Amino acid sequence: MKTKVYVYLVMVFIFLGMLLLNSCYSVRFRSVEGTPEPAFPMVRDDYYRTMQVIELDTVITIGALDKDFTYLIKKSDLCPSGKLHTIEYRNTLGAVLLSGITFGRKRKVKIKYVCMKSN
Amino acid sequence: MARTTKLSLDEWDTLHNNGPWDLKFLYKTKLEASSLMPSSLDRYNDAAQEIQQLLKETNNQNEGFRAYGSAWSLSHIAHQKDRMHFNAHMNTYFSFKNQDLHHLSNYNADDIFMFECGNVIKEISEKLAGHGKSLKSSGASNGQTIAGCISTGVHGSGIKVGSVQDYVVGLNLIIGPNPGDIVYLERHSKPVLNDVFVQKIRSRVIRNDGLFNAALVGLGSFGFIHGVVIESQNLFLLKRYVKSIKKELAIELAESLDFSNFKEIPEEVENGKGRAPYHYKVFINQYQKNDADYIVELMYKKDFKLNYPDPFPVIKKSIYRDLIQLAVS
Ligand SMILES: Cc1cc2nc3c(=O)[nH]c(=O)nc-3n(C[C@H](O)[C@H](O)[C@H](O)COP(=O)(O)OP(=O)(O)OC[C@H]3O[C@@H](n4cnc5c(N)ncnc54)[C@H](O)[C@@H]3O)c2cc1C
Repeated sequence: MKTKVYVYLVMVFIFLGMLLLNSCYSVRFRSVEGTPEPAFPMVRDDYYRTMQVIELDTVITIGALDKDFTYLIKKSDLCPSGKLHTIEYRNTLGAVLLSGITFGRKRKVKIKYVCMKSN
Repeated sequence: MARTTKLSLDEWDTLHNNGPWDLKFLYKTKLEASSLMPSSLDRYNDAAQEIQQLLKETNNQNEGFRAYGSAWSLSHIAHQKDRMHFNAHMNTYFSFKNQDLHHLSNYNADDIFMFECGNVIKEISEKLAGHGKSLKSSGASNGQTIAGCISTGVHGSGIKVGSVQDYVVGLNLIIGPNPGDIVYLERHSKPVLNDVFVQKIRSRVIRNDGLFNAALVGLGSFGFIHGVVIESQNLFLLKRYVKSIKKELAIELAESLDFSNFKEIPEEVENGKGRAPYHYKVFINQYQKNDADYIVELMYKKDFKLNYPDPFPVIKKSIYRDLIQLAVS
């Protein structure tokens, strides 16, 4: 009996692990044209080391009838051109669960973006 | 007015972490917004004044100052222990007309451009493409600044083209904080721009071959390079071939760079003679000592046209495919 419970538990953990792995991914769009806004100073050690990346980690509320949400990219010190060069969207298990338990009303938005270098 | 951000830091490092090394202050100067100062010339001169101000501030503290570009040099060459200046946001440029050229100039005005130091190679290529022009050569990848490239003698692999500094025909240097410390330097034997233009960039002209050549590959120690005048060429496409040819022939072509008798690519034979490629590379597989053949890569210049095949799939697979060909040959 004990062994059975143990096996079930392991299977549940494997299932959750696989869910976690599969639901955690990033998709990156990068323009082949243009130059990214350079990082100043250069402190990161990841894909964005040379780029001035802006990170957005927030929860948005979508009305029951709304199917989309527009986030406006505006000119700022980190994005002087206000134009996009690269955008990375990240999906996580937390985001999937949040959307599930709120019936899609709350969506986690985790994106990184880099603007075009300004002239 | 150009805006300078000044950060008080402890250390500085290159893109590939060759450091870190000590640093006191890191500067970045950004050109005035074009909505406030529409003339590129005004914004350029305004930035020059700002750099002179920074040099003055540094001099007053009896400290050192060095400009750097994208920090791609894989050594300490761009480092200075007191103050460093990041140039990327000084990125305007100028094209020219016949009336801007020196009366003894043999250059075609359409080919001449002046790029501010912080323009990176990709930006330059895009700006030039807007004029139907292209750089003659650049290094691998395209994130280096023009000033960084010439300062370290960045080479490409175009045949008979030389390195980046070899198509530079004029330099606008800021050598100190005082009036008269902005210099436009070009070869006496090959003048390019006339004194009227030089006055517009508020510079003192020096036409001297020796000085020009000395300043060209200056490793950041020949003043602040503000503007780089280059000679471009018409925009072009490259057509690539990979061939397996006799070892002796591959070496002979590399040594002589004479392709007139090389007729293995029928499309590249003109009037009975092989055309000269823009790029030639020999792959040597040191594990196949008894190989009779070498794999060679040739790229031929073609007139630019729109709707050319997407180069990305070829670029992505080319090295991999060449290596496979090597491994099974
Ligand atoms: C991915 C990669 C590929 C490369 N490919 C090649 C290649 O194919 N061929 C090749 O030859 N090299 C190559 N290199 C080396 C690189 O191109 C050179 O080191 C180049 O100098 C980097 O340019 P930068 O703008 O980053 O200059 P930095 O490294 O920032 O600076 C280089 C030097 O220029 C000086 N400098 C920069 N701006 C100014 C200015 N405004 N006034 C005065 N001095 C200035 C600096 O003080 C420093 O001494 C490559 C490097 C990398 C990382």
